[in-house]
Amino acid sequence: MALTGDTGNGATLALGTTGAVGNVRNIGEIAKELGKIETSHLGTTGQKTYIPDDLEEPGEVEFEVEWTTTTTLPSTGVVETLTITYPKRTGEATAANHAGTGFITKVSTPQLVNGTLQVAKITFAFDGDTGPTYTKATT
Amino acid sequence: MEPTHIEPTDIHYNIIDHRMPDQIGETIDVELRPHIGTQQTRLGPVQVEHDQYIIMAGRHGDQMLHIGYVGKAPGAPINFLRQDNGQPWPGPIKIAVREAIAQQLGSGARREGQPPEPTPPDDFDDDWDDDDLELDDTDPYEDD
Repeated sequence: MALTGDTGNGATLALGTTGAVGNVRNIGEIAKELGKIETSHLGTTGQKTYIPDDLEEPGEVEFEVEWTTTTTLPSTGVVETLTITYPKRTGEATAANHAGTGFITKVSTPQLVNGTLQVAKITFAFDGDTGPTYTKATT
Repeated sequence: MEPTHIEPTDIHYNIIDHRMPDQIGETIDVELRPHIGTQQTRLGPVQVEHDQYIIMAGRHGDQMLHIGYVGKAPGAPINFLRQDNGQPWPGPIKIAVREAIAQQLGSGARREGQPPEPTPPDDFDDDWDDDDLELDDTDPYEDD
């Protein structure tokens, strides 16, 4: 049986309005989260009880890019579509991707340290308008 | 229950048979597909359309490959993916694709890394001229 694992090498990140942000070193995970509301009362025994919250947090993603002194810093607050494309595997015509609307909430300049690559950190928050969606690859 | 399907409405399969630069000597087809993703909801999966196109390209008659994205907004940048071997697409191919997309979308797509055009405020007067200037003829040094 063929091995099915893959690494992140070849993945890309694109911002629909800002455009390219330089060489991306890593892309953090996307975690949407639904809160919980406690419903325990004085008659509850054993364990606390919960119901699901009404609304879900669409989440955010943090990524690191190699810092270049000639690249324009991306602006915060510009609503745009972020697309993370997974590396294509053999035989795939269309790559799998995550995409959704949102905006950059944080841009951190790199630490300047001897013997260490200059890396900037950018945080993109999904706004919950469109997506985030997952589109599987097609062959 | 079947999930809700939203049919792509803007551009379905616009194919341009585009002549590439002389150094390539081939023609490629460039195709823009609506980017439709599946969003999970408590009512089940729903297909939603993103504000961008998936760029497919291929030599005429060959399989089309996903090579990037371009936003629907005028002047949106093209974001190229990399080839399967991790290398960027050669410059002549990027130029040809950029020209083909500019023909389709009407406005030239920005180059990668080029900052977006500044957006004028809503009350920006595009037809402003000197006649619009209302001079204040009061003398600020004149005693009351």
